Amino acid sequence: MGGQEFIPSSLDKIVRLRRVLTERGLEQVQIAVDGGIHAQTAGPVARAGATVLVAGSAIFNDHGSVADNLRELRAAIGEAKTGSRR
Amino acid sequence: MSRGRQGKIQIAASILSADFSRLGEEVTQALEAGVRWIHVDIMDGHFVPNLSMGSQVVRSLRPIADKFDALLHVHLMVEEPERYLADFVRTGANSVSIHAETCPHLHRTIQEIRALGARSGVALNPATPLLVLQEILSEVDFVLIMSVEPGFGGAGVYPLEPG
Repeated sequence: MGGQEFIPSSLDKIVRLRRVLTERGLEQVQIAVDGGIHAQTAGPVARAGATVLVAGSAIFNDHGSVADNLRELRAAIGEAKTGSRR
Repeated sequence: MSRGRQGKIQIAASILSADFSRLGEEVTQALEAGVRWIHVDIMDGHFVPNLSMGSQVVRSLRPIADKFDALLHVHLMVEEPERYLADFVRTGANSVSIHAETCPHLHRTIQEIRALGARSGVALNPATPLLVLQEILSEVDFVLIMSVEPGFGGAGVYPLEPG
């Protein structure tokens, strides 16, 4: 049911884009990431500097309700926030 | 220093994986759960191998998104996206992303989106380097980094084999 696998090198691309935006004073530009986002990838993607995580099958699926699936994704992002403060 | 943005991370709900026989209901559930960015993938069978949907879906979702003051974003995975900008914005998209790979006149196309009154984004395929954004970065509202090849299997278009 799920989509394609998240391409791991995308994380480095997000980090580099975040760095460029910071260097150029363009922090109002959002970084959205689309593809392979689920509870296992959402944390690292958020930690890399993404501000919008596009999720499809992680939200709309037969395993859980939309609300429960979103709660799970938010928990994964919340952990990323905690991690980034260490 | 950059911690401020951490609190602003949001989840966008991509409707391609929704049950299209109850699309309004599923999108409403996502909005009720706090989602404020509805993501609509438009595929043309040329730039990407699959077909998805057109502006009639955007038109149907607009009133639902309006109830929650949500962004209705179309991700145009199509060749010659400039041909479709006005149609999608007129039917209700208030955010549009185009692929750098499809736009020889990227600056002009971004300006067109802004002139139509929508938020503008540039999407990049996994193999497209960030370098192509260098001259346009200050003109866009967001960058859409594709972390899978857009428009191929999965993502609810075709079921994948398990495992």
